[in-house]
Amino acid sequence: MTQFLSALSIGLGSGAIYALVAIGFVMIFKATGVISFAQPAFLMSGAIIVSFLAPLMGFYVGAVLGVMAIGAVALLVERVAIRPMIGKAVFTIAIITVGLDIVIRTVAGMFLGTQPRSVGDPWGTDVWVISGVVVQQRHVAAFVTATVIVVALLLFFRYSAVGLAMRAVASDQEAAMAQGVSASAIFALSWAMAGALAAVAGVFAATGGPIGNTLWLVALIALPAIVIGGFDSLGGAIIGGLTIGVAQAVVSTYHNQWFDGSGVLPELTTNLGPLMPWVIMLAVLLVRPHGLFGTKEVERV
Amino acid sequence: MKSKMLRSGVAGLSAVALVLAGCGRDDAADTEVAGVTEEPCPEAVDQEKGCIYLGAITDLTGPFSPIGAPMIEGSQAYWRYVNENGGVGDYEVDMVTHVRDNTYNETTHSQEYREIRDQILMLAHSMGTAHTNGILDDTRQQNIVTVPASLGSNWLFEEGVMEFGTSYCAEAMNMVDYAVDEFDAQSIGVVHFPGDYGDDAANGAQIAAEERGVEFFRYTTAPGGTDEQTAVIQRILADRPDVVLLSTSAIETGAVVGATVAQGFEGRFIGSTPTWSAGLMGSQAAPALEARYLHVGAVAPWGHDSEGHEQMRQVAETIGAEPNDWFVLGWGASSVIHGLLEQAAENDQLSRSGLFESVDSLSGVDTRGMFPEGAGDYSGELNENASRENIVSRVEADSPTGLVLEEEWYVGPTAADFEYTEACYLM
Repeated sequence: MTQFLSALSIGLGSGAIYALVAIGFVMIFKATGVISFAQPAFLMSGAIIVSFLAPLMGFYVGAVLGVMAIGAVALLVERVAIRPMIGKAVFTIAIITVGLDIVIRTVAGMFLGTQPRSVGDPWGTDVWVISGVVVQQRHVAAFVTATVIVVALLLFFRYSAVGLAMRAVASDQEAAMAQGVSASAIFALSWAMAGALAAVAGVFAATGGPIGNTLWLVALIALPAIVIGGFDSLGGAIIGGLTIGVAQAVVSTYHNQWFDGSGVLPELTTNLGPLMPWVIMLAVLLVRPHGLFGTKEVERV
Repeated sequence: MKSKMLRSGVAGLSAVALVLAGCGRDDAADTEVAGVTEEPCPEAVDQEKGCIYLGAITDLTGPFSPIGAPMIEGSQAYWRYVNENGGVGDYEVDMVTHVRDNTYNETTHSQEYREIRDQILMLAHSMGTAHTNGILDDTRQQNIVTVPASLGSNWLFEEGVMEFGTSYCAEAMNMVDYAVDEFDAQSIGVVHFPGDYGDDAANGAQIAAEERGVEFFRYTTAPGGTDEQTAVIQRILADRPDVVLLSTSAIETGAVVGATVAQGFEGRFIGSTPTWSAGLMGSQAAPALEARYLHVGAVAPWGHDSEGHEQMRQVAETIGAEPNDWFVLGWGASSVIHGLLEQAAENDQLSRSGLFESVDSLSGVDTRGMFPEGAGDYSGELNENASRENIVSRVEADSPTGLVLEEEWYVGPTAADFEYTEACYLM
């Protein structure tokens, strides 16, 4: 039981990181109808910029400024590269975001240099052991931070004028514009917020060790999360992120007990944990093609 | 008469053309001495000397750029030193013009190779085992001697490939023997990537573990930080081997060592050549690494006291290069290549086919303490000449790259007696 609870704490921590990235994906999709494949680049860039700022001004200030900086970069990217493409095919814009991702990641990777860098977080590899259950402090920090951000976002969308405008654009762009809402400004804001969320996720994904060139892959694991939750559901992104995080951690922990060749299951040396997000995604798609909480498309025939 | 002369001339030219065509690409390339010009190098020290162009295809922006970039910098620093001290015969050496980034992509590697193929005398740095294997048929066809920037035991079996350093396989054997002899290890686990690097090492470790009669655990993992290493961390905590060997990159070293020690693991760690980076000293895993980790490598760390290291540090200081153990490896590898070029120049064989022949007759190179005695001997049977020695280093925060020498040119009994019959990762 202690092993399971330890795996659960890992899963909730990493799931919170996936959820933050997934929310960013959903925000851009709801506003513009486009899946932005530039999110991995923002995630990795966020961690890298914080690794430069943290030694100068401490982790917390560095993280806040780094996240704001990536939000500004995402805003700039939207204005320069995406805005002129409004009205073009969604597929075309999605491909542009793939290109943006490669360009931004390559530039960010140059700053990574030849030595592994660290975001300088205060948790490192420290753990709490509670009745035999090992809980990594950085996972608690990630989960708490994600919870605070999600609550803040929900309040923002429900009570602020800008949040309401964003919901209006997501719901019916033309009707919102008829009411005086600037869809252009909402698009830009969605990109900025999504970039900042990816940067937060990147910072927490980089805690506990050095930043690698493969850090951006974390963002790709958020893709099954939004498919599971539904492309246009913020709540679904959170549930999806936590689900795949927990599934991945539990299977990674128990893999070698389940597949040790001594039981019914075959011996497998390759850990199946990383496959779980995609397995769950396929299973959900077979039952609910629009995800657990996504809006079912209705076509007039 | 004129007509007869014309016919004879055309027939003669045709015959020459047919002979040249029949000789094929190799001889044509040799006629032009590809990669060697009488014109000086672009950044020549002596404008009277010709230029030897060396090619390099490495990872400058991808996942292994922390290795590729400083290795190339070390190589370039070495050739700068050589050129400032007279060059090679009547030539200086350029390893700047034809350096290419493969982003650790095999297709890109092949494309870049084809772009520089006709301009280089030899491929002095080719990063990635699969990447290099992908071009090997062509390099052999072109008589281009290739130096892989990896230590797979497979290179021992490849014609036209000039490997340097001890293979990952023998290195892992030494890690096991060191763990048994120095730490009285009764059980050993190995965390490794799948494929030509990790499996080469893991198979070598398994061979040594069987020889020494110790319990053996094998953990395959993929690149990534602490969360991606969850499975391996849990396995180590469950099995509790006395010593854990690492055949990964530095990222996984920091993640695995930091997390397992934080969660109560009391064993030691010994890492293969690619598992260390000075940047780890800035990570949260640094105290655990300082207390529990040893590095087994192909060359002594930056601060080591040898003539070669001293020369390297002097040159590095003049160009403002930061201390880096991959820079050391790049410098050291170039010193072996230097021996080959010197021999070829002395024998008037400074051509592709000449180098190909020279490799087999090269019986040793003075690397000024960078590699052990006998390094650079490619003249005999592979089991006689395969390098089996390793440097053992410990972590010390005050040293330039975080590593200081613990034991020089260690050879365990398993590696010393091992007979290579095929690449370890194919076993």
